[in-house]
Amino acid sequence: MTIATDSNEDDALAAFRAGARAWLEANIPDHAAPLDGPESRRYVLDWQRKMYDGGWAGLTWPSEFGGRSLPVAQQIIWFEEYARAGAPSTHNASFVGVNHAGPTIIACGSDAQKAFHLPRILSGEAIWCQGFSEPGSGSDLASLRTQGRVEGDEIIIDGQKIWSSYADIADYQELLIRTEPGSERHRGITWVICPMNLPGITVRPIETMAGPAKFCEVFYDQVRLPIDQAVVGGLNNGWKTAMATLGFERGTASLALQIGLVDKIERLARDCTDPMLAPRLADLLADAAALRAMSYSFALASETGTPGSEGSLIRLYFAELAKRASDAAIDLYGIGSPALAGDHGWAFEYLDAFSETIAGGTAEIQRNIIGERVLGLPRGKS
Amino acid sequence: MTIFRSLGDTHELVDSFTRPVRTVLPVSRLRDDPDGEPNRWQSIVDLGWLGISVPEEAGGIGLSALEEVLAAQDFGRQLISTNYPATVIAAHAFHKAGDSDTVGALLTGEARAAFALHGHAQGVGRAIDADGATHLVAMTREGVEIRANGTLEIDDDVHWGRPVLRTAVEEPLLFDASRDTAVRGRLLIAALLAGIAAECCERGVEYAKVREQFGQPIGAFQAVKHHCANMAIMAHAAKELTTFAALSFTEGHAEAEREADAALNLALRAARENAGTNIQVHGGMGFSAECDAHLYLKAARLLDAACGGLSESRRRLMQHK
Repeated sequence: MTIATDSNEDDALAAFRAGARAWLEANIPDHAAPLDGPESRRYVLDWQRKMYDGGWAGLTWPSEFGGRSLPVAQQIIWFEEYARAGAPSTHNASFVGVNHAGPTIIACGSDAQKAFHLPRILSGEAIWCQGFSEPGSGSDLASLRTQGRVEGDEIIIDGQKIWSSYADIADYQELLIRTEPGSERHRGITWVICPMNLPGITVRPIETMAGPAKFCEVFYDQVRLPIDQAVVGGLNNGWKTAMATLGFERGTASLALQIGLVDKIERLARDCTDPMLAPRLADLLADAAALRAMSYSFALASETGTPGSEGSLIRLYFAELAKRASDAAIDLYGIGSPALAGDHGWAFEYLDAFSETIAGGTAEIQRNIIGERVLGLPRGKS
Repeated sequence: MTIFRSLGDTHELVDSFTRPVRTVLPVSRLRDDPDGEPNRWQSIVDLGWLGISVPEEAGGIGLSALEEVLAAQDFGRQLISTNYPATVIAAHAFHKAGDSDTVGALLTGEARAAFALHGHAQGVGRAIDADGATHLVAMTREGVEIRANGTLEIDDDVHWGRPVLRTAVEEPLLFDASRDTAVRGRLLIAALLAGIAAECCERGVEYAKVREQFGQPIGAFQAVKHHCANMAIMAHAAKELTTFAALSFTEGHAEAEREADAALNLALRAARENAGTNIQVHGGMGFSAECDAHLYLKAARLLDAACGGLSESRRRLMQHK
């Protein structure tokens, strides 16, 4: 186990931190990020481009793909400064490209796919969305039915995806389709890169309970993809491709969000003057400290070897803590308070947090995974 | 500021001297051997566990709070006597006061400390497992207070697995107001509680794998599986935060006290929650005294009482928010 804690940082890391802090102070956008629509696309791409030009994008990505090949320690320091400076949330339209599609292409993509897509993701030229869930395949992802018919050197796609965040403003989608006719469960699935401007694609944004229409339904009607450009990790091997980055996703990808949550909880505690709320805030502070200890330890372990199975524990811990923190914030400030108002106020955070224990695997599915894969408990009879 | 440090070697070192803990302190000793000497104090003395973090010149091993906290997580799993943390804290306090004779006596077993509980009145206090102890350690808001053990009699309160004794409140021998000793003590108790949380998780999971009802292991049922997942989460959080806080303390960081308070708060909750869940997973057996499950709960509550409890940890956390 490797752990990290605040203390006497060595000179190189301290210099890195000072550089990050100075750059962030000078470059943070002067207006808050729009939550959805074309304005949010422009904002996210501009900000990503700015970070890329400043040398702050893809810190842990290999340098051959436009990253900086830095250790996780620097990545942690960057996110700490990022949260401290109040920089735009990383839970935005660039998230899937930077944290999911990009790493998947690094792990499983062809040289041509890497050369084309990776620089575009890092430099803020392309936005990605995810096409995994379907109306009939939510928690049970392996039951997906969107069909990809192989015809010569093309795949022709018919079907429907749902809960695809930012699909309305995305350039590409990481898409899971069933390419082997009659196949079941995890077999016969292919992971493809789908340009969102192709004929036959229809996108319908869905308004969320938190307000913005950030996720979408996507319909595919005879959408034709060239196999050599689209398929990542081999035809009918898509489940493995999708799983290739799970470790990454649960390691460094969520670090920014985790560190951001710790920062928010510390602010809440500082604002608390109500003795009746104090015990709740105290527990939240301790939970935030635990989240930090767990996520740093896990991120550093992922760097030196295969990340342990505790990633699923940390992910669930984060999700439930985010909900409890925003719940306490509403009690602390009260409806009508300026702290709740606005695109990024606590009212939005509170309502939006209800997605934390649903998206990417519900809390119930996460507990099943922890029980079965981490603790080795038997699966139930089905 | 952040430091990054690999703990691989530290774990190896700690394992080398905690290895016999399961043989020396089987949890069954608390159930099968109530009239014997369940504290196994002489073994603890002989193995040098009391002096892990006590400086070498004072007769200890001279390692840091980090090694001690890692070792204590293993000791906590075996429900080591509450005299262990009390004696370690007393040794540090007497060392700070320059009383090397008493430090020596504590490390060699001639002297031994137990925890005094808060809230004594009319000259009568309460102490945990103080039979055979020479000193009583109270962890107060202001610091660590040590008195001679003026044990009067065993109380009627027999609910906690170990005797809670009535004591006469003697004049304080020593008052250590240093942050160092208090924080060290909280870290040590947090580590013991983290160990309890981890052990309860393992015991519950093991049982859920073998106990069958409705034709399958109960762990296959989601309701039970999710209890187990919750225990795993709390155990992991307590372990990682306690270790993190100990490293922070060892590195002399300004935030160390805050980290220690966070660790204690989390470990207190993790231990009582996991102990309760482990009883629930064990069902009827869990409620029976023949099963060990209740021992973890009682041990967790005694450590809770020794350090001032969850409310006190919350108060401290909000003080230096």
